[in-house]
Amino acid sequence: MPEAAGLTPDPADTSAFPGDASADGPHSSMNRVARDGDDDLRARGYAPSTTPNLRARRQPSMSPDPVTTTSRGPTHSRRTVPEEARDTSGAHESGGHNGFSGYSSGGQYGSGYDDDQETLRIPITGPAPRRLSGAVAAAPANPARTVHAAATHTPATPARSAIAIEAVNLHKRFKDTLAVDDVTFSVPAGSIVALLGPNGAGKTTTVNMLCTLLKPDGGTALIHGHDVAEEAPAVRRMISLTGQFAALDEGLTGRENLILFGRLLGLRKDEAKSRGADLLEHFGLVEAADKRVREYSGGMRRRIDIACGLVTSPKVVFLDEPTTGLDPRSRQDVWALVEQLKDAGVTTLLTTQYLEEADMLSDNIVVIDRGRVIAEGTSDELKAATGASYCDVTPEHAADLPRLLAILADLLPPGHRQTGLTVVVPAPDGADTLVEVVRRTSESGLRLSDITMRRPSLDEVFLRLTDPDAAGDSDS
Amino acid sequence: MSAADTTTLLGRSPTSISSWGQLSALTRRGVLNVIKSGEFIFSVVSPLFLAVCFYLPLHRVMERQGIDYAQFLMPIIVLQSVGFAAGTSAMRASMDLGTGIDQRLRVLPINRAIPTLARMATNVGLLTVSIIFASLICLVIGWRPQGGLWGTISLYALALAIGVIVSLLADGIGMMATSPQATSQLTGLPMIILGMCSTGFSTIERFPEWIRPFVRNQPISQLATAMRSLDEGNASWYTIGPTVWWCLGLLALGSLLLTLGIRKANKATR
Repeated sequence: MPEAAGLTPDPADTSAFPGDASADGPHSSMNRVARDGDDDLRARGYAPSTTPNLRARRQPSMSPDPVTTTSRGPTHSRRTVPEEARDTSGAHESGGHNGFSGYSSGGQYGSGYDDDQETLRIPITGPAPRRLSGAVAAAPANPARTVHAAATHTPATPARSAIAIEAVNLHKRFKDTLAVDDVTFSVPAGSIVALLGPNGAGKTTTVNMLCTLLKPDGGTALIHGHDVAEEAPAVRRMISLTGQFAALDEGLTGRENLILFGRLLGLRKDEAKSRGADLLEHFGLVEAADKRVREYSGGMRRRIDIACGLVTSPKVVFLDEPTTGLDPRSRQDVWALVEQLKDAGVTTLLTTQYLEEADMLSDNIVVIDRGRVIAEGTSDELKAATGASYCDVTPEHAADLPRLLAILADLLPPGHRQTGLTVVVPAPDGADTLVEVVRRTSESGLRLSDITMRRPSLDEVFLRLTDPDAAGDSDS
Repeated sequence: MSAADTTTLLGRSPTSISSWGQLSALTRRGVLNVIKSGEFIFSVVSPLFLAVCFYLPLHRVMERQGIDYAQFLMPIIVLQSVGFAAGTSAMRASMDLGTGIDQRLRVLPINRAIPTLARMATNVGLLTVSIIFASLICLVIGWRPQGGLWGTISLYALALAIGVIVSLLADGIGMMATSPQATSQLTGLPMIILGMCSTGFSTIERFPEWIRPFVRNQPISQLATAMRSLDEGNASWYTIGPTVWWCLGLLALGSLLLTLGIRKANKATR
């Protein structure tokens, strides 16, 4: 597989995120140097050998046509890999990994995530959903308004076949409860989209409508051009759903379940048997194959559940909160599987409450709250849209904190609540804010132990998007 | 990651899917569950239990009144066994909804009727086992078929038909019930009460006068009377007619419950 091709030097690449070097903000200058060095190598077409699999994974998905947006030039998706995970990936591969046998690189993902990570830039594919990028560039000062632009989406007309999922103004009400108010988004074929939202946001109802389990009260949804309400049988042939809870026959063994679903999806008996054996091996369940599913652990149960959806060849896989309640290793297994699905050209829609999961796995994130799409874009776009960078200022001595707060008072938001020793200063002017902070602290002779620029974490983005008060603050 | 990994990840999607294949796969699943859970053992135990509990203490009393109790008891032993087997259908339907497999089946390209038909097919298997064991135990206590070939065939056909109708009813109850535990009470209790207050175990004369109209006309008594007449070779519309009407009524009720149950299952999805 031509690994390096996935990172073809792109003149636009180095300028796509001009603020990255400072905005990504590692928390130590040493880290920053190392990472910038990697970026530099990458821009010249060299791939550091520590992350071959991830780079290779991106490559097959570069179809059908890279998107060009009017606001940014070539659109880029930034893929992040925790440094600790990179460092230990070899150990994972050589260790007795109990998960998917076909995916030795599953251990590349760490369960933790912050901005202190290596950044990869990969052109994203497919037609551009109407989302944040244009608005971000045009009106960064008013992020709360720009994110709502997603709700005005209309069905995409060009390259329709390349759209795997297209939801337009979906609406669903259960008696007195408005489950989904107005959900619109589209997913290019072969990509991964994450529906992100708090409990009760309408994620599962949206998935159930897309899977033909529920008929929308309003709006339309198409799966590869087939209407979920009008052409449900055709849609069902193309999809696979793994719900929040294992939906299997718990009295049967893993093997028997696989054979059952193989037969239900039209495989001959012998075919279903051999397919079941293949999947058991692929999902690392050979030893547990003849145990009843009710005896399986949570991770094994999730794996056999997903495997049952893959006995044939679904074009679109829906995973409803696939990692909820799983231990970190099982979670990594599921993440690895999602990447494998992408490699196989399968479109994946996953719902999640975990920001790191959405950030790490998906090409695109659709944030849903109270039944509406409140934001859509890559994690970078969301971060950029919901606020400028932050400047973290830490005094050398805790006793200096009150003085530091006093000299930075006008830079802090009204009602600023201080927690810990680090003062988080919004940096609407980017590096200029950092310079200003340094100037003030120098003039007053206040010594700092650390000062860093960073972009908002996805947690901050999420809370800001789903919390009206915070949104109001940003508007003002 | 090697190419082979992706190759094994996805399978082949057949161009056509046979409904018959789906039905047989789901029926096989039901039968496997019945065997694994040991449910079929109850098909053997329940007629044995009834024979021991009723025939042993009562046969001398009944014989003193000139009644061949083995012959008299046969229909109710078969009916109770069949009813018990059919009642487990409710549990299975309810379990399917509870574990979410029903939701999964609804996302597959599968006709809505197939899961219910498969449960029916599983029940027919279980009912057949029940009837065979009930008959064997009745033979042991002294029952002998006296209705001739057609009478005996009709007797078993009626028993099976009743079993299928009760299965349908139980399936509907199972889908409507809130939990598998609730279904066992909803299906088991009426069977026991109606069975006890019927002319299956005892003659109508042995009941207090005030309850006789109920005992005489309730479905279990009517079904026992019809089966007895077929077994004795003296069936007429007078003995069979009420059973036919009861069967049609229960069939209509079962279909209604099933329709409502399917509707409820569809609505339950969030």
